[in-house]
Amino acid sequence: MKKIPFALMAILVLSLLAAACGSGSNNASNSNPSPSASQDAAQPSQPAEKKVLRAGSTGMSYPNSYKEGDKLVGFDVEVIETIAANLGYTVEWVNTDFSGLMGQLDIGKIDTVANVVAITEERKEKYYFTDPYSYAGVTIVTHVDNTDINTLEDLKGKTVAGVLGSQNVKNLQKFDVNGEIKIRTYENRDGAQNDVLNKRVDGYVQSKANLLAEIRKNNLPLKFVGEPFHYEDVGFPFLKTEENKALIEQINAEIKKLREDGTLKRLSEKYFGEDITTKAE
Amino acid sequence: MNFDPAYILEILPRIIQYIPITLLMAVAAMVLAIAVGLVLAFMRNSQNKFLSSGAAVYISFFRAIPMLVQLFLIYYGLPQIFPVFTRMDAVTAAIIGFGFKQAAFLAEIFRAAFISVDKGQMEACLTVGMTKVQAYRRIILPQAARNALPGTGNIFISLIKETSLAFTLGVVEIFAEAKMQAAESFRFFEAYLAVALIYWVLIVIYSYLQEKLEKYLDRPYRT
Repeated sequence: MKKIPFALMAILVLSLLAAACGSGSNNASNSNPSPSASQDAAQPSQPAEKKVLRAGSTGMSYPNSYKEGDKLVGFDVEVIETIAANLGYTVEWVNTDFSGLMGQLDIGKIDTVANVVAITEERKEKYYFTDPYSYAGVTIVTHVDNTDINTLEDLKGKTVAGVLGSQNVKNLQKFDVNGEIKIRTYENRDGAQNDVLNKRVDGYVQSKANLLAEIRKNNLPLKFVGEPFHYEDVGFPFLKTEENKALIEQINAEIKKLREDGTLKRLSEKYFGEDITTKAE
Repeated sequence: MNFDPAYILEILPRIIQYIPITLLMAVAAMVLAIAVGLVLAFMRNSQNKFLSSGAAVYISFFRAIPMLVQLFLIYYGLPQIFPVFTRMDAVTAAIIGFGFKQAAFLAEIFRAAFISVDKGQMEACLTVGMTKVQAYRRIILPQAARNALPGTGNIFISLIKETSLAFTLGVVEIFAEAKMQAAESFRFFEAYLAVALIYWVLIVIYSYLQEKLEKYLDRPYRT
């Protein structure tokens, strides 16, 4: 019986270790009421649950939302964080795949999504949207070696990659009324982008600003196929509740203010190298 | 070729921080799977038609549906029918999902392990006046456990790797962190390689522990 403790101890140590450290890293991704509680003490006039805005983002969408070291950064991330800070909220982030984001919103695990959510009629039926904070031109890139692909016409019969559940794919389908372009969907951007770089697909549909930023940052051998074929308004979606209605009005006022004082433009230029916060003609 | 081995070293410390959450999910799911799996194995072997067919349905269902589908059902589907489930956090949902699924696989491994112990042993136990519970605890279980260990180890190893699916529920673990880091640096190959190395080391450590445990369970058979 002398050796019994070995197995037991191995399991015990492992699980203790996991539990002890696990709870530490949990806080980063899951809602943790303590920041709101401590703030509440400082400002007793505000109810505790009003001080935290839970926002969702993939953390894999350069330059809208990505990680720099341990910190989540990006254009959409910084916009909502600025707005929230001005309104006296702290933002708690949940990172998940794009296909999981809307699910998290539906069941109320997060309050909003800051990840280039296009404002569409279908989505408006289900969610309240804030005013647009940026405008995304949807376009297609192809590998520079594909000299025979220069206009959208040339893509007929070819395969184009896109992110599953993203509005870009739906817009391409709408644009391509006769279904002449084959669309292949991916779980996230890097899969789609890698496949166009490896020439497994002929094109990749994404918003122009994102593509510009990626190409510039990594010197990617990609070229644009014509001009954007569609423009999207981008906003923050919220579940349809009275409480959110009031919050959206506050956020709208903040967006207006940030646009007027040039903060939105500055953030956009920081991440994209151009201003995407005013509507293109 | 644009390959930067130094980036692997740079990114490793950041990814390593997420080993605890990966292990927490794997270990907790394994404990749950063993408990449920044992009950299922007993139910499946039972004479009671109701119990055994119940276990059979459970096993066929949870072995059939893909892990990702099951996680979506539990985390995003259940709350739409029963709003109380919105209170369940993502880590819990992932543990339940992993545990319930692997329980179905373990049930079959355990059942095979019980069958591998000769029937005559149970009969002998009963003849010398032990109760069934005593017979299981003293004679059958120790032998079955030895036979079940290699298969059970396989289940745990696949559990460790399956935890990467929890990112769809918003749990950031090893693989998710690597993906997010790579989104900035665009060094996907190096990031994935770093993840592969970490999983490999984890599995090597686990395999070593399992080997020790196997030796321990083997003691009565050594001459």
